[in-house]
Amino acid sequence: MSGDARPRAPAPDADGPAGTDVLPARVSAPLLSVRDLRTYFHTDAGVARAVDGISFDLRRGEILGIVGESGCGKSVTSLSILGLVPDPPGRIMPGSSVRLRGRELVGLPVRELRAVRGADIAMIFQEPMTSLNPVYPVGDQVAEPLRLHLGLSRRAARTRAVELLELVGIAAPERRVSEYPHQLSGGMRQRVMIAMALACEPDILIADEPTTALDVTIQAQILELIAGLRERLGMAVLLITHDLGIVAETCDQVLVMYAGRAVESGPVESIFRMPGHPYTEGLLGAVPRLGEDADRLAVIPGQVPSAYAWPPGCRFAARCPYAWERCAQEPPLLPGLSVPLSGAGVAEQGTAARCWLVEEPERRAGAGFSSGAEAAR
Amino acid sequence: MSTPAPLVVVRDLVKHFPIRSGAFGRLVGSVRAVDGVDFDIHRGETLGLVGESGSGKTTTGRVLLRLIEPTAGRFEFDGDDVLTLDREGLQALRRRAQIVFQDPFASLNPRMTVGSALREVLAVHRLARGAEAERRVAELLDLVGLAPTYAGRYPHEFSGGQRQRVGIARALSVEPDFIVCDEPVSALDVSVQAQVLNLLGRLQRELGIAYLFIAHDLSVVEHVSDRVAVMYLGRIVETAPAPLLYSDPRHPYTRALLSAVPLPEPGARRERTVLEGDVPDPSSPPPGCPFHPRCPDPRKDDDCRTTVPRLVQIGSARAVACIKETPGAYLGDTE
Amino acid sequence: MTEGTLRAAAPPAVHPREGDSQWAIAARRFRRDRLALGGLALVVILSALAIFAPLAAPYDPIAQHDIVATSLQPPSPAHALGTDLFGRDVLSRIIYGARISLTIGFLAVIISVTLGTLLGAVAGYFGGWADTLVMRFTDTVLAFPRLILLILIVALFHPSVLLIILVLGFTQWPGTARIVRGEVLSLREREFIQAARALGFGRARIILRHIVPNVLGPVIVAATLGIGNTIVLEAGLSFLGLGVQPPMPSWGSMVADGRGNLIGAWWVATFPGLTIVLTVLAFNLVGDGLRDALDPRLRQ
Repeated sequence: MSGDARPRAPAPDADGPAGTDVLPARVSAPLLSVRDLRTYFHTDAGVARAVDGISFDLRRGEILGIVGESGCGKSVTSLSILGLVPDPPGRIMPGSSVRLRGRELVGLPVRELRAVRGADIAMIFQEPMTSLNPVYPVGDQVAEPLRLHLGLSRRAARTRAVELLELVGIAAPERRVSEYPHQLSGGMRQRVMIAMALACEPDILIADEPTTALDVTIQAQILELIAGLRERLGMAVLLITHDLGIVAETCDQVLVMYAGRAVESGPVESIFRMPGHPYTEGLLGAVPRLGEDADRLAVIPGQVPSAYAWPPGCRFAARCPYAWERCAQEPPLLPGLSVPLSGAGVAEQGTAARCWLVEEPERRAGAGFSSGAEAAR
Repeated sequence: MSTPAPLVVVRDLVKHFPIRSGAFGRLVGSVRAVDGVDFDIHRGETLGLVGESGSGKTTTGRVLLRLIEPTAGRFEFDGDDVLTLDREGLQALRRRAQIVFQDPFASLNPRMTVGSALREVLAVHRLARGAEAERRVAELLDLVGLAPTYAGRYPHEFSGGQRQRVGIARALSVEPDFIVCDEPVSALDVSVQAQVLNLLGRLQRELGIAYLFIAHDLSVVEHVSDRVAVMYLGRIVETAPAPLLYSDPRHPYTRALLSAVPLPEPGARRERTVLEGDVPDPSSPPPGCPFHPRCPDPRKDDDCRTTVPRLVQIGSARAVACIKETPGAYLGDTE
Repeated sequence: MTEGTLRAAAPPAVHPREGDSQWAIAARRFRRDRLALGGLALVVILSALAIFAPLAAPYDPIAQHDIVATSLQPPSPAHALGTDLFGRDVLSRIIYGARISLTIGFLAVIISVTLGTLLGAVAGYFGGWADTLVMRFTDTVLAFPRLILLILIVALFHPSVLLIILVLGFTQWPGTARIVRGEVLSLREREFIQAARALGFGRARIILRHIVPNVLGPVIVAATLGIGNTIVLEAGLSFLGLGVQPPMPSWGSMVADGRGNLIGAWWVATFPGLTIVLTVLAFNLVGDGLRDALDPRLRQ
């Protein structure tokens, strides 16, 4: 771990003058450290600021969930970490930093980045259907990273591939290893993807909506597998999803994204019990819950603004039931601690919300998301 | 229960898709997508149809509107036998039973403005023309919460949630009594989903439309349905009023399904029955109970391997297809 | 939430201007493609020359004066592209030749595209024996070597512009039919077609109002490229003496005429040849530009 001896200079805030994104301190040094990541798309229609200044840490053995809806930038974030954003039109802007064990990944020549991909950081995607090459047996595909990064011989790689298939819970792995992707079900294909990702024993697994395309019973299997791997191998997992249920059950820490930025971060229990940011609150209210007899769901009115033209000030202000003049003018920073809704007065430890309510909590009273609304206009 | 006759009556509905092979298209087997399904839907109520991939729920919805022709079975709509309808009768059915699809991007013709699409429906069914049609289009858009000025826009100018509303407006334009909602919110973000669900609820209250709500998301289905039917491999394995299904599921598959749903409540990491294996192939279902290979219930035995369970009433509004459940066991319970 | 990861890496969708149809968006994209615009300009110029030939051509293309004095003159201020063996102005003949080539090209393609679209749509939508019938018929027509068929027919009957148009039109449709059938097969399962059926629309209405407008994109591209193909074919025919008969000027026959004297009077064959190349290039650029402008990525 290099360069951690002296204190790192705080990264400048993306949208304003001096101000820092100070994240609450946690115990051990982070494995992956993202600071002020900005990924913009330069197109004929303008510049889309898909990821606009996001910072977070990922520690060994931790499962961090990044949750948000479509267009919030969570997938682009994961692709940016591994430098997989198509360039052009996408580009990681200068000033962004992604450090793996202290080593800067942004700006690395492709050759060196390739050595990182698969070996230190591995990624699995949403569509198991199209993520596997249909013309090669799955065993070969699992063996490929082994041969590439670890230089194993064909025989050794095949043996290890069988071991890996067993590790991810595929029955009769010796037989499966020579089968083709179309012979496997969606759940099994996703397991194969995980096996491929684990082949070189990476420290970090990035899982981008790994279960969205799967049935719920299969989803349960895969999530259990991922959690189990964390237990057994001490892997850190960056889990990207839109499903709050998955976050609640699988993740330790959560980062809520909206309009290209992190709007709330902290331990899962705290955030779910007492969300600090109105968007988080709205999301939690909009999800139908099993066993709860709610007549109508709370609704977040309006729509996400365009990435080509983020509004000034707080990007959620137009849809926020608590917003006041300050919100539209000044973009809030992400420092400090959020204040619980119940107003018990004791701030939750380790949570942070990008919202002016943190400074003026009394404005929460008397407002909230309304149920039964359907406003779309 | 309610005395008026149900609006929709389905008995023994079967749909097998043939599998052909060879140069002459020999029949080598069939995919038993829907394998004997019974249910009723009353006016103004919502029956949720839930299941995973391969359960046959989508096929059931399409067969109900005769978008796919069934292989066998009986289906009555308001007393009329739908399967023997001639062209005229089918056209009349189209005015009373409609469908809303899952994919908001693909369910609208990209080359037509929203207004033209709605006007076309009105014209084909001779419901309105000219100025009257314009007025009706504005009314419909307003009904689903869209500004009437949007009539001149093309589908690609709308967001997913708005497109779904247009799809709903289109289904409403014929003033149906019954709408099959085929995964209407699965492709939408959570916040948009809530808006559309509230809209569907309001429309039901105001217009008295019955829904067959097909979905794989159990939380959504519970929220919108009065009664729920759970499907597995082309058969219904359990039917019950929604709150009861969730508080006291009787079929092992229903239990496993419920426990697999991740709840947005941390610390609710409860005892979870994770099913082994994958959903079997609908072209070669297991003998006996289709669920028995994966069934975690301790009562499972050899009978399960040989007997095909029928859906039997165990309560006044509850039915289960499991040989280990006693018929009539819950009759007399207040529900 | 079904967006795949890699689709998420595409730049966010722009909100197009209000009321923009897909055609309008495509037109705007086309306008930004310089090569395509260049091709289009060339096509427009050629078409204008063809239509206004009597006004544009400096000389009568078939009149012959004092042959000895005017024969095989190199390019000069009086004759911009020189004269041929019979003293006829090459430029004027090229301009009149454009009439022939473009007329044949456009009309033949219109016939083939219409026929191909209808047959392909029927095959794709109805499937079953209709599909089998149409596709086997398509395969049969495709098996015929077009040039030889053309030569045969022209040799048997009197070679006229109409005959050439008909033969070319009725042998070019299989390509379009296959393209259309493929598109229709995938469109047929799209939900908006299912919705049309659920709404009680008849089959004819569905095919004509809902399916065909959505397959026009690839059809237009195929048509544009087909024009270039047809022009070359016609030129080949005339080169062999089987196309439009002299004294009507045709690019192909002009090349044939000048073939014997390539070194001494290079201009007689070269300029018509260059014109053929430029014309086909222009149409191909337009076709490529259209294909890019109608890119299905936009059809989200």
